[in-house]
Amino acid sequence: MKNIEDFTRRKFLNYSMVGGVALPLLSLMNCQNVAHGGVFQTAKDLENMTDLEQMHVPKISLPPVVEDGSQASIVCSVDHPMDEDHYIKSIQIMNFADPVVIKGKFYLTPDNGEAYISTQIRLSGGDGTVWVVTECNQHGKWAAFKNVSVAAGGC
Amino acid sequence: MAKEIKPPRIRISRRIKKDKVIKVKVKFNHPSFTGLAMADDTSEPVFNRVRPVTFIRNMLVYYGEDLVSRLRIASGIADNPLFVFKLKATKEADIKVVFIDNFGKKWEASKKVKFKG
Repeated sequence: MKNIEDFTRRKFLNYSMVGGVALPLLSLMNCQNVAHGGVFQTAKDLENMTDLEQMHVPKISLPPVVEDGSQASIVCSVDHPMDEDHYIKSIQIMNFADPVVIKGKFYLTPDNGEAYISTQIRLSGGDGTVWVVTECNQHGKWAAFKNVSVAAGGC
Repeated sequence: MAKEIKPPRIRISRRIKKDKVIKVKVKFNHPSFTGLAMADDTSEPVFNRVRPVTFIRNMLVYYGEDLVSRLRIASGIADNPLFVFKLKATKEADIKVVFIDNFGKKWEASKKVKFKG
Protein backbone atom coordinates (compact mmCIF):
# COMPACT_ATOMS: atom_id res chain seq x y z
CA MET A 1 0.00 0.00 0.00
CA LYS A 2 2.86 2.34 0.80
CA ASN A 3 4.16 2.20 -2.78
CA ILE A 4 0.80 3.26 -4.20
CA GLU A 5 0.61 6.16 -1.74
CA ASP A 6 4.10 7.30 -2.83
CA PHE A 7 3.03 7.32 -6.45
CA THR A 8 2.33 11.03 -6.82
CA ARG A 9 0.78 12.94 -9.70
CA ARG A 10 4.23 14.32 -10.58
CA LYS A 11 5.70 10.81 -10.82
CA PHE A 12 2.81 9.68 -13.00
CA LEU A 13 3.42 12.59 -15.39
CA ASN A 14 7.16 11.86 -15.48
CA TYR A 15 6.65 8.20 -16.30
CA SER A 16 4.04 9.03 -18.94
CA MET A 17 6.44 11.48 -20.58
CA VAL A 18 9.33 8.96 -20.61
CA GLY A 19 7.02 6.24 -21.99
CA GLY A 20 5.61 8.58 -24.59
CA VAL A 21 9.11 9.31 -25.92
CA ALA A 22 10.58 5.82 -25.54
CA LEU A 23 7.84 3.74 -27.17
CA PRO A 24 7.88 5.50 -30.58
CA LEU A 25 11.70 5.30 -30.56
CA LEU A 26 11.59 1.55 -29.85
CA SER A 27 9.33 1.00 -32.82
CA LEU A 28 11.97 2.64 -35.05
CA MET A 29 14.60 0.11 -33.96
CA ASN A 30 15.13 -3.00 -36.05
CA CYS A 31 13.75 -5.70 -33.76
CA GLN A 32 14.41 -8.59 -36.11
CA ASN A 33 16.58 -11.08 -34.28
CA VAL A 34 19.10 -11.84 -36.99
CA ALA A 35 21.27 -14.09 -34.84
CA HIS A 36 18.48 -16.43 -33.82
CA GLY A 37 16.11 -15.86 -36.70
CA GLY A 38 12.94 -14.48 -35.21
CA VAL A 39 11.32 -14.94 -38.62
CA PHE A 40 11.94 -17.31 -41.47
CA GLN A 41 13.96 -16.06 -44.37
CA THR A 42 13.30 -17.39 -47.84
CA ALA A 43 15.00 -17.03 -51.19
CA LYS A 44 13.82 -13.77 -52.77
CA ASP A 45 14.49 -14.94 -56.31
CA LEU A 46 14.87 -18.69 -56.82
CA GLU A 47 16.59 -18.15 -60.19
CA ASN A 48 19.23 -15.77 -58.86
CA MET A 49 19.97 -16.68 -55.27
CA THR A 50 22.66 -14.82 -53.37
CA ASP A 51 25.59 -16.73 -51.84
CA LEU A 52 23.98 -16.52 -48.41
CA GLU A 53 20.70 -17.88 -49.77
CA GLN A 54 22.40 -20.71 -51.66
CA MET A 55 24.19 -21.69 -48.49
CA HIS A 56 21.12 -21.66 -46.24
CA VAL A 57 17.94 -22.32 -48.19
CA PRO A 58 17.08 -26.02 -47.77
CA LYS A 59 16.73 -28.36 -50.71
CA ILE A 60 13.65 -30.56 -50.60
CA SER A 61 13.25 -33.76 -52.54
CA LEU A 62 9.58 -34.76 -52.49
CA PRO A 63 7.51 -36.03 -55.41
CA PRO A 64 4.87 -33.50 -56.58
CA VAL A 65 2.21 -36.22 -56.55
CA VAL A 66 2.08 -38.73 -53.71
CA GLU A 67 -0.13 -41.79 -54.18
CA ASP A 68 -0.06 -43.00 -50.57
CA GLY A 69 -0.08 -40.22 -47.99
CA SER A 70 0.91 -42.58 -45.19
CA GLN A 71 4.42 -43.09 -46.64
CA ALA A 72 5.70 -39.97 -48.39
CA SER A 73 9.49 -40.04 -48.72
CA ILE A 74 11.20 -36.72 -48.16
CA VAL A 75 14.87 -35.75 -48.32
CA CYS A 76 16.03 -32.43 -46.90
CA SER A 77 19.57 -31.15 -47.23
CA VAL A 78 21.49 -27.90 -47.02
CA ASP A 79 24.79 -27.02 -48.73
CA HIS A 80 26.24 -25.50 -45.62
CA PRO A 81 29.58 -26.02 -43.87
CA MET A 82 29.40 -27.85 -40.56
CA ASP A 83 32.24 -26.10 -38.73
CA GLU A 84 32.51 -25.75 -34.99
CA ASP A 85 31.52 -22.07 -35.10
CA HIS A 86 29.18 -22.10 -38.10
CA TYR A 87 26.78 -24.94 -38.67
CA ILE A 88 23.15 -25.92 -39.20
CA LYS A 89 21.51 -26.46 -35.84
CA SER A 90 18.26 -28.05 -36.94
CA ILE A 91 16.03 -29.12 -39.80
CA GLN A 92 12.27 -29.06 -39.26
CA ILE A 93 9.58 -30.51 -41.52
CA MET A 94 6.04 -29.06 -41.44
CA ASN A 95 2.79 -29.14 -43.35
CA PHE A 96 0.15 -26.63 -42.28
CA ALA A 97 -2.62 -28.46 -44.15
CA ASP A 98 -2.31 -31.53 -41.91
CA PRO A 99 -3.87 -32.05 -38.49
CA VAL A 100 -0.35 -32.82 -37.19
CA VAL A 101 1.56 -29.81 -38.52
CA ILE A 102 5.09 -30.53 -37.27
CA LYS A 103 6.42 -33.84 -38.54
CA GLY A 104 9.76 -33.74 -36.81
CA LYS A 105 12.74 -31.63 -35.90
CA PHE A 106 16.23 -32.98 -36.41
CA TYR A 107 18.90 -31.36 -34.25
CA LEU A 108 22.40 -31.47 -35.72
CA THR A 109 25.91 -30.80 -34.51
CA PRO A 110 29.18 -30.18 -36.40
CA ASP A 111 29.91 -33.92 -35.93
CA ASN A 112 27.28 -34.67 -38.57
CA GLY A 113 29.54 -33.33 -41.31
CA GLU A 114 26.59 -32.54 -43.58
CA ALA A 115 23.10 -31.22 -42.92
CA TYR A 116 21.00 -34.01 -44.39
CA ILE A 117 17.93 -35.99 -43.30
CA SER A 118 15.75 -38.43 -45.14
CA THR A 119 12.57 -39.95 -43.75
CA GLN A 120 8.95 -40.78 -44.54
CA ILE A 121 6.06 -38.59 -43.42
CA ARG A 122 2.28 -38.76 -43.29
CA LEU A 123 0.33 -36.30 -45.41
CA SER A 124 -3.41 -35.74 -45.48
CA GLY A 125 -5.26 -35.97 -48.79
CA GLY A 126 -5.56 -33.15 -51.29
CA ASP A 127 -3.19 -30.30 -52.07
CA GLY A 128 -0.76 -29.10 -49.48
CA THR A 129 2.57 -27.39 -49.00
CA VAL A 130 5.43 -29.02 -47.16
CA TRP A 131 7.74 -26.53 -45.48
CA VAL A 132 11.28 -27.25 -44.39
CA VAL A 133 12.94 -24.82 -42.00
CA THR A 134 16.65 -24.94 -41.29
CA GLU A 135 18.34 -23.02 -38.52
CA CYS A 136 21.90 -21.75 -38.83
CA ASN A 137 23.66 -20.83 -35.60
CA GLN A 138 24.79 -17.52 -37.12
CA HIS A 139 22.22 -16.57 -39.74
CA GLY A 140 18.91 -17.69 -38.25
CA LYS A 141 16.06 -19.63 -39.79
CA TRP A 142 15.65 -20.28 -43.51
CA ALA A 143 12.65 -21.86 -45.13
CA ALA A 144 11.75 -23.50 -48.41
CA PHE A 145 8.56 -25.19 -49.46
CA LYS A 146 7.31 -27.70 -51.98
CA ASN A 147 3.73 -28.11 -53.18
CA VAL A 148 2.42 -31.62 -53.06
CA SER A 149 -0.77 -33.31 -54.15
CA VAL A 150 -1.76 -36.40 -52.18
CA ALA A 151 -4.13 -38.94 -53.73
CA ALA A 152 -4.94 -40.98 -50.61
CA GLY A 153 -4.56 -39.20 -47.28
CA GLY A 154 -2.48 -40.90 -44.64
CA CYS A 155 -3.41 -39.06 -41.46
CA MET B 1 -1.71 -59.82 -28.15
CA ALA B 2 0.26 -56.89 -29.52
CA LYS B 3 3.15 -57.75 -31.80
CA GLU B 4 6.49 -57.30 -30.11
CA ILE B 5 8.52 -54.41 -31.49
CA LYS B 6 12.01 -55.45 -32.48
CA PRO B 7 15.06 -53.23 -31.93
CA PRO B 8 16.09 -50.84 -34.73
CA ARG B 9 18.65 -51.82 -37.36
CA ILE B 10 21.60 -49.65 -38.42
CA ARG B 11 23.34 -49.86 -41.77
CA ILE B 12 26.57 -48.11 -42.65
CA SER B 13 29.12 -48.53 -45.41
CA ARG B 14 31.80 -51.19 -44.97
CA ARG B 15 34.47 -49.01 -46.57
CA ILE B 16 34.88 -46.06 -44.28
CA LYS B 17 37.82 -43.69 -44.43
CA LYS B 18 38.83 -41.41 -41.58
CA ASP B 19 37.26 -37.92 -41.65
CA LYS B 20 34.89 -38.82 -44.47
CA VAL B 21 31.18 -38.15 -44.14
CA ILE B 22 29.20 -41.38 -44.09
CA LYS B 23 25.51 -42.11 -44.54
CA VAL B 24 23.80 -43.84 -41.63
CA LYS B 25 20.54 -45.67 -42.31
CA VAL B 26 18.34 -46.59 -39.36
CA LYS B 27 15.25 -48.73 -39.87
CA PHE B 28 12.81 -49.07 -37.02
CA ASN B 29 9.65 -51.12 -37.37
CA HIS B 30 7.43 -49.19 -35.01
CA PRO B 31 3.74 -48.42 -35.57
CA SER B 32 2.83 -44.78 -35.81
CA PHE B 33 -0.67 -43.41 -35.92
CA THR B 34 -2.09 -40.02 -35.24
CA GLY B 35 -5.24 -41.62 -33.91
CA LEU B 36 -7.23 -39.17 -36.01
CA ALA B 37 -9.95 -39.90 -38.53
CA MET B 38 -12.08 -37.67 -40.71
CA ALA B 39 -15.33 -36.84 -38.96
CA ASP B 40 -17.28 -36.55 -42.19
CA ASP B 41 -16.10 -37.23 -45.73
CA THR B 42 -18.39 -34.66 -47.27
CA SER B 43 -17.64 -31.67 -45.04
CA GLU B 44 -14.47 -29.73 -44.44
CA PRO B 45 -11.66 -31.90 -43.10
CA VAL B 46 -12.52 -32.11 -39.42
CA PHE B 47 -10.59 -34.72 -37.53
CA ASN B 48 -11.69 -36.63 -34.46
CA ARG B 49 -9.49 -38.74 -32.25
CA VAL B 50 -10.76 -42.28 -32.62
CA ARG B 51 -7.93 -44.25 -31.03
CA PRO B 52 -4.89 -43.52 -28.84
CA VAL B 53 -2.00 -41.79 -30.52
CA THR B 54 1.16 -43.90 -30.89
CA PHE B 55 4.45 -42.68 -32.27
CA ILE B 56 8.21 -42.50 -31.75
CA ARG B 57 8.89 -39.35 -29.76
CA ASN B 58 12.69 -39.17 -29.76
CA MET B 59 15.64 -40.55 -31.62
CA LEU B 60 19.06 -40.00 -30.05
CA VAL B 61 22.27 -40.67 -31.94
CA TYR B 62 25.50 -41.23 -30.03
CA TYR B 63 28.92 -41.53 -31.64
CA GLY B 64 31.21 -42.99 -29.02
CA GLU B 65 30.18 -41.16 -25.87
CA ASP B 66 28.98 -38.01 -27.63
CA LEU B 67 25.40 -37.18 -28.47
CA VAL B 68 25.72 -36.02 -32.08
CA SER B 69 22.10 -35.76 -33.21
CA ARG B 70 18.64 -35.73 -31.77
CA LEU B 71 15.33 -36.03 -33.56
CA ARG B 72 12.07 -34.94 -32.01
CA ILE B 73 9.32 -36.70 -33.84
CA ALA B 74 5.56 -36.24 -33.91
CA SER B 75 2.84 -38.63 -35.00
CA GLY B 76 3.16 -37.17 -38.50
CA ILE B 77 6.03 -39.57 -39.22
CA ALA B 78 5.11 -42.71 -41.16
CA ASP B 79 4.83 -46.26 -39.86
CA ASN B 80 8.09 -48.23 -39.74
CA PRO B 81 10.24 -45.27 -40.75
CA LEU B 82 13.68 -45.37 -42.32
CA PHE B 83 15.84 -42.48 -41.15
CA VAL B 84 18.92 -41.56 -43.14
CA PHE B 85 21.39 -38.98 -41.87
CA LYS B 86 25.08 -38.21 -42.21
CA LEU B 87 27.95 -38.44 -39.79
CA LYS B 88 31.63 -37.51 -39.99
CA ALA B 89 33.73 -40.59 -39.26
CA THR B 90 36.38 -39.08 -37.02
CA LYS B 91 37.09 -42.09 -34.81
CA GLU B 92 36.62 -45.83 -34.56
CA ALA B 93 33.70 -46.01 -32.16
CA ASP B 94 30.15 -47.24 -31.84
CA ILE B 95 27.22 -45.44 -33.39
CA LYS B 96 24.37 -45.95 -30.96
CA VAL B 97 20.80 -45.04 -31.79
CA VAL B 98 18.16 -44.86 -29.06
CA PHE B 99 14.44 -44.61 -29.81
CA ILE B 100 11.88 -43.59 -27.19
CA ASP B 101 8.17 -43.75 -27.96
CA ASN B 102 5.34 -41.68 -26.49
CA PHE B 103 4.75 -44.30 -23.78
CA GLY B 104 8.37 -43.99 -22.62
CA LYS B 105 9.48 -47.38 -23.97
CA LYS B 106 13.06 -47.49 -25.17
CA TRP B 107 14.85 -49.41 -27.92
CA GLU B 108 18.47 -49.13 -28.99
CA ALA B 109 20.95 -50.49 -31.47
CA SER B 110 24.61 -49.91 -32.17
CA LYS B 111 27.10 -50.42 -34.96
CA LYS B 112 30.87 -50.10 -34.84
CA VAL B 113 32.64 -47.72 -37.20
CA LYS B 114 35.84 -49.34 -38.48
CA PHE B 115 38.25 -47.66 -40.85
CA LYS B 116 39.39 -49.45 -44.00
CA GLY B 117 41.90 -48.19 -46.48
